[in-house]
Amino acid sequence: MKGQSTYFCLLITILFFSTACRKAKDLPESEQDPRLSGGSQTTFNNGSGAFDQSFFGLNSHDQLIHDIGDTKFSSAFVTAPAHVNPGIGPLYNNISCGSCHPSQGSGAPPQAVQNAGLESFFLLLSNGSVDEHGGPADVSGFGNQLQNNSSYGKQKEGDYSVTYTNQIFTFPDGEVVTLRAPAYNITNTYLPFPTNTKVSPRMAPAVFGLGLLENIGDATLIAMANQASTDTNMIYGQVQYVWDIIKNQISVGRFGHKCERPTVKHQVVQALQQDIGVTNTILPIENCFNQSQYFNDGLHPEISDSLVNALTYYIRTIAVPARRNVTDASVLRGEQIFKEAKCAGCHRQTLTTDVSITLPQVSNQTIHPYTDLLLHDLGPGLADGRTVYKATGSEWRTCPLWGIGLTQIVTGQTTFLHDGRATTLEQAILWHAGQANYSKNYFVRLPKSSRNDLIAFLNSL
Amino acid sequence: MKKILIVILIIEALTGLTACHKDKTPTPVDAAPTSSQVIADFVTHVGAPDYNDLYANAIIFQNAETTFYANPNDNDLNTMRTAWKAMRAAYESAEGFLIGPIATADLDPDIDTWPVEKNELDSILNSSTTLDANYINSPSLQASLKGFHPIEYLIFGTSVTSTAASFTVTTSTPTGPRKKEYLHALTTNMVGVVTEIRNSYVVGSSNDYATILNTAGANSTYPTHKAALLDLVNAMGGICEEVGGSANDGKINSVYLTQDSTLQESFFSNNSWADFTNNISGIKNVYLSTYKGSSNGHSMHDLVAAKNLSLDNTIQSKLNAAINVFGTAHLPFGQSVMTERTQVSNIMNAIRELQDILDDGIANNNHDLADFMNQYVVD
Repeated sequence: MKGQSTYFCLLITILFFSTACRKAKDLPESEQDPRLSGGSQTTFNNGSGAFDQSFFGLNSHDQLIHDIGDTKFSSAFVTAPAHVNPGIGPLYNNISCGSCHPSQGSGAPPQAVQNAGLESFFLLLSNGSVDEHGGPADVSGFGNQLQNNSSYGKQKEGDYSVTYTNQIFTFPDGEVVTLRAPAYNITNTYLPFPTNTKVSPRMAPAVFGLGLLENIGDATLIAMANQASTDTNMIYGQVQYVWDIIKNQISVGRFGHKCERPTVKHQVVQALQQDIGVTNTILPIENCFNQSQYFNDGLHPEISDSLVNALTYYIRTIAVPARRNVTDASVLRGEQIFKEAKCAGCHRQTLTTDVSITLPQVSNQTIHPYTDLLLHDLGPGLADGRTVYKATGSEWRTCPLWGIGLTQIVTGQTTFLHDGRATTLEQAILWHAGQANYSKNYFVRLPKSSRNDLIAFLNSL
Repeated sequence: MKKILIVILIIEALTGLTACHKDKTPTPVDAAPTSSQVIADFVTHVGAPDYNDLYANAIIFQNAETTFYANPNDNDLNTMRTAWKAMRAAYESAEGFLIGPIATADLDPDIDTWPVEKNELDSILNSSTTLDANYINSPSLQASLKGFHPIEYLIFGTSVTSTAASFTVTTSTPTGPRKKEYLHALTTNMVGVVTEIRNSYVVGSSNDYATILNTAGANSTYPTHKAALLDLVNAMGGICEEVGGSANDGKINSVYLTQDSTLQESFFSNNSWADFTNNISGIKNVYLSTYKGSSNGHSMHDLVAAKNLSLDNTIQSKLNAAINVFGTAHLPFGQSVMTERTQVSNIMNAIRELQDILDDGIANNNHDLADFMNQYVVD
């Protein structure tokens, strides 16, 4: 009896430890639900409001903060002093966050030829010099960004317009696609425009899912870059390091077309100050400081910390739309092509977020953003010549592709890439070059039906 | 005793036979409409007539403004005020289905941006800038300087005291004639935007959204009928969120919390309660496929009632409750938030309950209208 008990206890002990010591493994990709692009923070709304759904599981206080931020995101700012939303200008590009990110989606370039007005688009300026932190230095008299609108009685910095030159691309099977190459013309500047100034167009991107991307750890990005640099079969991407105006230190960059901003909050305060002219405690000086338009009305900061925090929290907590038609045969074929063409080398399908105690909704999530948040050379066709910290003039952040198939229904239009030159996904692919040459050429050589499969896959994201 | 048993057995047998007898004439139930019928009738019976109504009142406004421009008088000013409120009624009820070009082509910001850029507007009025259609149509002119609310500011004034005489006096700041010029230019611009909005429900127009809805299931915007119906349901829930604020920051609650009447949207006209009521009535219009009591077409109500009568009853009950509860507040909104706080709180709760039954934000918990569409609309 004693012997039996001993064997029994031993067996239990072995079973216990063998179970306790087994580390839980991630589900293999084949067992994951491919629709859950944002992990647990995936919304199944795939209509006009697909990019403006709140995270799930926010408590009532956090939901209140999200909603305050949501309201502020959509509200127009007006000239101070005013009872509601004071602080716009004297120089600005647009009047609210929502004006540039319609329905929280991406913007569009201005109408060709005519002078731009209030657009979801602006021009960055640089002259090749760097500031004390290694970022692009201001252009004297114009700063970092051309503000093409001004409060009444103030001079805007200037007007700009875009013109397009058509380039014909012919597939081996004879299909012809017209690509449009943009050029920008700056006129009516309040000062003579410095001749050596580089102009870099930027179209506003969609703003959902940013809380999840923000929680992709630095170590994850660095590991991806290192893995790629040592594996000759992989496409090399590099981590961006930028000056973090909130921490006053160098940080890993994640947001912006050249990863020039490390956090959502950095993005928010810079957009308020540069795009709308709303000063805040982090950037308390108007964008036209040292220019003739500058006027110190003594009302700075023009937005409270609480509202900046609410805006930041709101943007961090917008859910990601789920994929559609994931079992469709054409979509599945397209997904296979996406991998074979090595698109997934940069547009990484799956990433895992870090653990977050402050925002549990973004903690340890398996997400499908289709980006690596790294910088890649996309060749001379897309190059803007603007060096931003480690990003050269032809390097760009891999654009997250999640939700891209909903662009039409959410924003009523489809324009892609950093400057909106592509009006279809096919055109966007054809503009890829540099490190993406292999992928583009693979796509070009495909028969029409397979090209359609790839587009069907992209539209399912 | 045996006889009794035999009688009981016979009765049992007869009862059993009757009970098992299948009813050959079941109570007739209305056949559910197809999803495409519901969408097409939404276009015909709700979208198009609502925006036609908006356009008709914009023309009434413009006619009154034209004669007022030539000869400012209180009669035309009052006609403009009445037409402005009628336009708002049509527009606000259409916010129950804020999808398509109205939401994506900058039409809503062009006509309904709030707050008014009052400092800038006063500066413009006090300047010598030519105030004509070109000025208003400039792509650089802020949306907060055109549309409903700057017009409201000019024709109602800051405390419903604006008179026709104030448009002729030259000693005021700004002068009356400058206000009149700006109003004239604003009116032309507003009618242009309203025309675009109306055209979005006119088949064959340059921004034809009616056809996109009517061909749902065969276009890239709406690959399925379900996608179009869900988009409508999301819009219905969205306006509840905007007005009632499911988490304390809606249009009502932001004023309720601060007890600051200047934070309300239609401040100059004191029209906020009407705006909100029409927002919720607009949801009911979509659900019942009707506008201003017109004969209704195939509706979401028909679709739901055929499959889940209980859900249909609940939705209609919450809709009626959310509309009727507005009648419990008797003061203008700006005063209600201070002295009728219980009523205002009840109004917000009713709207939140309505939002919850339309779209509670949780997928497929079989609770709301969105879940119903997901479950039963298969094309």
